[in-house]
Amino acid sequence: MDKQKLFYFTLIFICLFLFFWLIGISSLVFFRDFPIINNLLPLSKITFSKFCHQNINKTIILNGAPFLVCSRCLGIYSGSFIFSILMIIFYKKNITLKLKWLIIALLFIIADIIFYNLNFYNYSKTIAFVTGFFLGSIFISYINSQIKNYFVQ
Amino acid sequence: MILKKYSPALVTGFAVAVLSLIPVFKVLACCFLVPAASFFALFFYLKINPGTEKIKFEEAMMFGLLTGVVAAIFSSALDLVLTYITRTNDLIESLPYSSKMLEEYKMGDIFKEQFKILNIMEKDIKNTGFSLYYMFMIILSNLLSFTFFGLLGGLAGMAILNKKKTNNAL
Repeated sequence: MDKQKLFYFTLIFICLFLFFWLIGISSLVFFRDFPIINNLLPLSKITFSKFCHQNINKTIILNGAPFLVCSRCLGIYSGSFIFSILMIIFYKKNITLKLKWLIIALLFIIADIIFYNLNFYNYSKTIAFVTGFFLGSIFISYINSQIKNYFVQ
Repeated sequence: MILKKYSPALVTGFAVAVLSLIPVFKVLACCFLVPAASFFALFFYLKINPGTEKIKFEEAMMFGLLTGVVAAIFSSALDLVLTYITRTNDLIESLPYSSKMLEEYKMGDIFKEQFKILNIMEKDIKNTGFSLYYMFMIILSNLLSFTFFGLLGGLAGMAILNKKKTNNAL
């Protein structure tokens, strides 16, 4: 298989995984009428408890139900998923992203955690989601640009 | 020969499994530790084999996969041992809270059956320290998540380390 195709399939694999991951996270919110997905609740609960504290006070409530991860994690995964789709659509475009952007995105999250812990402001689900979304999108774009570097070389 | 080649993945995978038991590192286990372990597995592979020109795609995938699988197996095993000794774990402790939350959002009836399963699991663990259902769930969950993040770390590691090698050669 040529490198271009391999790169494309790698992107699709990442995107598909993130898609199923998000289905698991939003199983209570969007899929409560789907018995197949509902039956996986114990598995989802165990899986996501390894990634997130699942504190209900820090979780976004939508459609009368909470997501299975906190707002920041939801931001990270949705940012990763949306940008992984964009990476597939624009896979021929040469987008290079430096490590410093990843560090900046991480710094935003660290700053938010420090500021609300020091009571500069109360915990905000919106800020947590946005900073998470930023990190997720940068992370997946960085991975994409690094992998692409390899395949192009 | 193959085992020797991939021994760094076994070592870093095991290290992640141990770290994932420490409360502070627990939440970071998949997102950061497993990809980092794959990266370090490749890094150590290059250190052990200085003659290697470039890490191939297949090698990176194999290292990532192996790191993830080893981390998943050991992490599950250690989790099961700790659960057996303490007769509790994070999931069991969070169950009353989760069930209260579902009642609060009026979803208790929808997830009645699922919570029945979780409650049986809780009962088994509290009584005997072991639940077959929990064992199946934890292994499946770890294998799914750790291998994916391991692969991701392997790919990123390959790209970063190859780039570094090219820059050093110039």
